[in-house]
Formats: sequence, structure tokens, C-alpha cells
Amino acid sequence: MFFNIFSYKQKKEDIVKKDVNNKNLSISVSHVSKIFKIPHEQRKTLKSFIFNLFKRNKYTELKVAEDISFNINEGEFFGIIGRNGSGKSTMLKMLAKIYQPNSGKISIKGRLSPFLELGVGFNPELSAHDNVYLNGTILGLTRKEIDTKFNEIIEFAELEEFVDHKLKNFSSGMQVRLAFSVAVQAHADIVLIDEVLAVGDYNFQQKCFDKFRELKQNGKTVVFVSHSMGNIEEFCDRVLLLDKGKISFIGSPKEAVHKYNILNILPEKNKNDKKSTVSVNNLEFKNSKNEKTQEFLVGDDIIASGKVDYGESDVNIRSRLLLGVGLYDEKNNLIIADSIRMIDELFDTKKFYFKISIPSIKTGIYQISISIRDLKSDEVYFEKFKSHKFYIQNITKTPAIISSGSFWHDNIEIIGLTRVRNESLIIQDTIDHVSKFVDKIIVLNDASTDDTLDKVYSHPKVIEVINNKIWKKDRAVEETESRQLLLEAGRKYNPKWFFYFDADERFIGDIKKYLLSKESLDINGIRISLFDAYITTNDKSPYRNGKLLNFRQYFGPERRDILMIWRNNPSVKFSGIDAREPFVDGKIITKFFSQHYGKSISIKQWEDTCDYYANNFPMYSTKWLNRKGKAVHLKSDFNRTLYPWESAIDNSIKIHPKK
Amino acid sequence: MKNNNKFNTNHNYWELIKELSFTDFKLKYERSILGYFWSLGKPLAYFMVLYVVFTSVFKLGDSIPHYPIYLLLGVVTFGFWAEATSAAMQSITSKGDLIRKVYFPRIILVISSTFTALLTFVLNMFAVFVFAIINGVNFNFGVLFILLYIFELYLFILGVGLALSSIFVKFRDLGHIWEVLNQILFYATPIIYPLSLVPIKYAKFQMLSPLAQVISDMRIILIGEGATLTTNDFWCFSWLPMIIVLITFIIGYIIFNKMSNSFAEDV
Repeated sequence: MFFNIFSYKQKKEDIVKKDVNNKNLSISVSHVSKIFKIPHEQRKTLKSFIFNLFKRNKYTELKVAEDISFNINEGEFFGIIGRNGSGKSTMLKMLAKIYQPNSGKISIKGRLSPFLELGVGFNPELSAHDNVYLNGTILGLTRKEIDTKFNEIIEFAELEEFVDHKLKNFSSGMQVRLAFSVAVQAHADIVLIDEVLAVGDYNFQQKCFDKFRELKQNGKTVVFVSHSMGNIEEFCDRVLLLDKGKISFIGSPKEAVHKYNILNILPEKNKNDKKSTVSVNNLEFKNSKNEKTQEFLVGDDIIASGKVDYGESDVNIRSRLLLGVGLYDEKNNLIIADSIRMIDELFDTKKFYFKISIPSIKTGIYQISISIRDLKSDEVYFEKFKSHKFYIQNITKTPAIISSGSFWHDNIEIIGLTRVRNESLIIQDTIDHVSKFVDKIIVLNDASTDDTLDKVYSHPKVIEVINNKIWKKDRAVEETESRQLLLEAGRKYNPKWFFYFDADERFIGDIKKYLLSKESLDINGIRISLFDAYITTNDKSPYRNGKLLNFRQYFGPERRDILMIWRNNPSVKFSGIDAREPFVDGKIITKFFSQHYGKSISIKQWEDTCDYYANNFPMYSTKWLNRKGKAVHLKSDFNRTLYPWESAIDNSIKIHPKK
Repeated sequence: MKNNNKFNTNHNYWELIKELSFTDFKLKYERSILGYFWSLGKPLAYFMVLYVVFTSVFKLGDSIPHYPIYLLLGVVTFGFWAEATSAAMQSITSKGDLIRKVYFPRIILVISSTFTALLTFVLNMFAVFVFAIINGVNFNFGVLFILLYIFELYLFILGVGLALSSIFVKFRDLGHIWEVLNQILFYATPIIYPLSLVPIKYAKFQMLSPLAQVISDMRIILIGEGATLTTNDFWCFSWLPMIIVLITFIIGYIIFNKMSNSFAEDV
């Protein structure tokens, strides 16, 4: 009778098997959820049962898996990682059919190793011999199979002399060896492993690793749950990262491990933790008319303001903090997100303003999340997830688009890059000026000795500062390297365009409008025509804080068309000696103008500039020493007549690039 | 590699049942010098006590031919019932470790635990035969029909055991309740006394019990007509208890199937 029951089960499983139509699919998990009901008081005795009969049995529902879907291909070494309690072991147990999901379906093709741990069913009162047979049968081997493999098993476990000893007299190492030796004999197409390598000495672990490699070579499908990121990276082809029962990431091991590490340093609810003392207070949301409201129109701005309290956080960390604001729809899709640097080492609290321009989205309820994280390590210091609700109305006629934006910095389209050294006088004006056409700025500070760094830090458009503290002579190579560093730093924000500028340059033309228009779609690089401004006899007062644009009256006619703007392509690269311009493939045009004040801020600055070049660029040293004391010009450095700005453009003589 | 295409994890469940029940059997008499003989010794001692009390004090044996065998068969059979059901009841909870870590149809645990009791029972039955021969009982090959009744009883035990084991996971008081119920059942079943001593209106219902029916029918096969009354004597359908066995098994299986999904979480 009961044998029929088995064949019935068998049929049911055959049906499941047919569901996996894809030939290469080994495991298919679709929309699986699992809830544990944890009763507040377990009613296991008659007394408590009777006493509590009329009380409702209270329990906490714990979602250990929530709508999880993924596939594992045949022959894949698939890792599952996550923090404790993230649901990874539960997932493995569901794959092994030990737990049944509450909803969703798991389809498995191929023979599954049914065990998650070594030595299942081992009985300490039995001899090693009997335990091999017992454990082997539990793992699905027949008695005959064990008979033929018995010697091999005992040999692999290095336990030849102890076959008839009772297991309870074995050391834990011996037991694990025996267990592993049996386990490797179990034949399966899909092997599930749950942290088996936690035990055993070094040699034995190496043996296990060898066995892993063998499994991999033989094209077995392996599902591996581990806390050891080294093993995960070494063995896995693909990794699933679970967080609180949900899929956090699925993909390359390297990225998964990185994300796991980030998750791992998220603050647990520990009040003593110094980082948790960073907080955002006095949060307010206003519209562009400066009215406090919770209702907005598409096209309007949400202006968030608040104070950041750094608490007892490390002063060094404060300068790296990034404040992020994200707007989510009701289905938790991130619509738009942006972030700003929170730089203020001087005060304990800092007021911030933050503007989100509402894109064309559907009318509905939206929520805002605010977080503060370390821009270097991604460590999260403060998070208020969906704390504020807004009603956003779309009364425009344009169709609503739901941007599937899923990343911070989504609306950074142009990133400005600059290298600065002791630019205290002009840097504020420079960044203000450039901010008009770039979204964010990344600065490389080259060992400034004045307060340039403070000014850079305090500017909200600056999202990253690379700080070079050591000054090296012979700048030619250094300059190229610095620019490449800036470029690489900028790439992680994934902008459309890069714009490289120097602190002493002012730009003329609607650069932003052009870059974001259709006209520039096929353009890969833009050269900007740069003219030197000169101190002249009637125009020699030094620059004081103010606007540098159109500061001098006369400009040289020599025109340098310098490649300052380029599209964010992976092929773009700075190389060579003193390479101001990167190598850019594709169509390059010349557009816009630039006034260059390098030599004309003041007479003193002219002298300093001469010294600077003479000292740091040996190859130009004589040329610059000759220029000392000649700050006031009647003619250009190339001995040509000086012109007012407009005429300089009209009479321009191109000297760069030389053809 | 064999059986590559099989989906299931542990295709040879029969091997697993054998291995688990033999291990149980082995562990049960581990470190005891007389080993298995204790499992015969226990019902034998119980039988001796009952025999002395009921033949010399109550003079029950006089009306029944081969009363010692009559009594021994009843005691041994009931012993099988009691041991198997209580083993089945605990089969899931006692193997929690296995359930949390390996997948196989959970019914295997109930089957293998009752198999251990069945093994003991079969050995004990040989002893009963030896005593029967000594006692001068004449039997022929028809005695092999006893195997059919053993199978019926085993199916009944399995049905009850499946229900007990799954309920026991959530409700541990069942252990004590079952012990008390079994004591009552021992006296409610015509084991010591002949059914002829019971008023018919009660005896009628007693004989609906598959346990009573199996014991009575086995006695008739072994000792012969006149040994006891059977279900036939009270009901027109002698197979009525067999239907009860079948229904019990189906209900037990349904309960078990429904609850076994969460065994791994509950044990």
C-alpha cells in the first residue's frame, strides 16, 4: 500500500520536472515567499493549552523570504550570501525541500543532494562502519554502493585503524573527515552546501577545496551558502545577495561581495555606535514659492532643508559625507535622486538646502528618503527611509514618464573637473561661474598651502575632492596623472559630459544648453577658443574678490583651441607629459570662448607665475625667467598687438593645435 | 552515474527504511548482554503474572482450551500495538536533527520506527509458536493466514501512528494521554478474558475494534474454533473492522501529509 504512495509522489515530482522547460536551467525559483510564524508563547502542554484556550494565540510573522525569483543554470557555481538572518539558509532549505514556501514555486531539474550539513544522522553509539552505512543511506546511496566504496571512504577520511570504534570516541575533526568522505560519494547533479568548511584543520579544508574544484570541473551545479567572501569570490560564477529576505543583488561575485561588505557596515541599532550620532534635524519641505507644503506640481521644485548634526562623529569623516535625497513612488521605484557633499569641518551643525526638480511623473503619492553616507566607503551614517509623503500633481499635457532611475546621481549630466593649487583669491568665483553650466564638480587639490581647500569644501556643487598633500617638483608627469585621476573619479557618477577647466579661465557661451540639446548628439569633443588676458598700462589694478569675467580690457589675438569638453566614453584617456587634453575619438568641433587670466590677476601674481613655471617645469624655465618683471604688457607675449575682447576674437590667430 | 534522470533525491527509500529500522533495533539492545531476548522476556514476564493471577485466582482459563497460548498471543500482539504506536508517535520529534537537515519523505520515519516494533513482534511470534507446540496445539499450514492479519494490524498501526506522530509535534501532552488510553484499551480488548463473559450489547462494540478482531481471528487460526468469538458472531459483515482500518489509514495519511510540510520548522 505505502509503496503506491511513493509512486504517487514520484508522479507529482515528474510534473514539476516538466515545468522546467529550459534545457540549461537547473533550478528555477519564482516568486517564492516564506513566512515563519513565531508564537509569543508556545502552547505545547495541556495546562497552557487550557488556560489559553480562549485567548487568541498571538504570534509574530517573520518574513524570511519575500517574492524571490532567480534561476540557476546547469553547471553553475552559485553563491548565496547575506548577513545573519537575511534568509539565505532558509532559501537553501527550501531548495532542498526541507521547508515548503508559503507561496511561489521552486522547480528543480536533476538529482539534488538532499543534505545541507555533513554527518547527518551520525549516531555516537554506533561504530564508524555502521555510521558510514547509516549516513550513506540517508544521502541516498544503496547498501551495495556503500559496500564497493567503503574502503575508499575510510581511506579518504584517513580512519583505517578506527573502523570499528564508536563514533563518540572520535575527535570532532575525525568525525568531520568521515562525514565529508561519505558526502562526496553521494551522487547528485545539484549539490547544496551550507558552510561546511567551518570545521576541520587546514589540510582537510584544502581537501574540501580540491573537491569543490572537481565538482566545478565536472559541470555540477553547486549552490553554496557561505560567510567567507574569499571562498565566494574564488568559486562562484554568480552570487545572490539577500538582505532581510529580499534580493538585494544578483550578479558577479565581486560586486556582490562589495555590496555585502557595505550591508555589513550599515549601523545596527546600536546607540553607542559613534556613527549613529550623525543625524538630520529640522527637516522642512517647501515649494519654489517658499511655501511649506506637502502638495507639489510637476515642474515645480521640492526644496528640502534641514540641519545636519554631526554628533560625535570623527572630524575626518565629516568632510567625506554625502547627503542624498531620493523620491520614490508608491511602488517603491526610485524616481529621482541626487546628492550633495556635506562639508563643514568648522561647525557642529550645518544647515543645508536641497532642490529636487520634479520630473514629469504621474499624479500620485510620493515619498522622500534622506540619507547621509560616506562618499568614499559608502557607509551609511543616517537614513530616514520614506519619512515624508507628498502629493504630486501632474497638470501638464506631456505624457507622464516614470523614470526607472535606480541610482544615486541620476541627474548628473555634466561634471566639471579641475585641479587647483593655492587659488584662494579666485576659486570661489571660478566654481560659482562654472556651476552655471556643470551639475557637479570634482576637484583635485594639489598640495595647496592657503585656504583653497576650505573654499572648495564648502561649495555645495563640489561632490568630491581628491587631496594630494605632497608637492613634487617636475610637474609635467604629475599634471597628466592628476587629470587622469580626476577623470576616473568622475566616471563613477556616470555623467554624459566631462568639462575640464582651470581656475583662471572664464567661459562665454551657453555651454549647458548646447550639451543637453540634440545638436550635440554626434559630437564627442569640443575645443574652446582660449585667449590670454593682459595687464596693460592703464589697466593694472590687482584683482579683488568679485567677478573675473571681463576683468581685463585687452586680450592677445593668439587663440588656443583647447579640448575642454568631451563625452563620457571609456576610451577617453589622458596620457603623455603635461597633457592638458585627453585623447578623444570621434567628431570634435570648436565652439565657445574662454578668457584666460593666468598671467593677469595682478602684478604680484605674474611674478609668482613666472617663478612657478621656472621652478617646476624645467623644460620651460629660461622662457619664464626672461618674463620676470614684465607683467605690464604693450604687446602680447608673442609680440602682437593687443585687442579688446570682441576684436581679439575677430583678429584671432590660431596657435594651438598646430596643424 | 546511475539514475541520472531521476528527479527525486533519495530514490531508494526502501534501503533507507531498512537502514533506519535496523539501526534502531541495534541501538535498542546495545550494551545489553541478552539483547533481543529482553523484548521477548518482557511480554513473557507480563504473561506469567497475568497467567498466574487469572488462572489461580479468577479461574478464567478453565473454559478456554490452551488458555496459556490464548493469553500469550493476546499479550504479545497487544505489546506490538502499544510499542509500535508509541514509537511512531515519537518518530518525528526524536529525529528532529534529520528532518531539519535532509529531505526525504517524512513518512519513512514513521514506517521505519514501526518496522522496528514489527521486527520484534515477528520474532516474538516464533516464540509463541514454540510455546504452542510445547502446549500441544495442533496446527496446519492454514496458520500462515496469520500473516494477513499481521499486515492488517500493521496497516492500522501505521494509520494511527501517522496521525499520532504529526499531532505529537505540536501537542506533546499526547504522549501521556496515549499511555492512559492504551491501558484502558488493554482491558477493553478481550485479551485476558473470553468475550463470552461480556454482555452481548457491549461485546458487539468491542468487536468493532480492529485490534480485538485481529487478536480473535489469529487465535482461531492458531488454536482453532471455540477459542473465542469473532466479529462474525456479532455482525453480519466480518470485514467491518477492516474498513475501519482502511479509513483510519487514509485519515492518518491525510493528516500527516498536511502537517508534514511544516515538520522542519516545528520540531
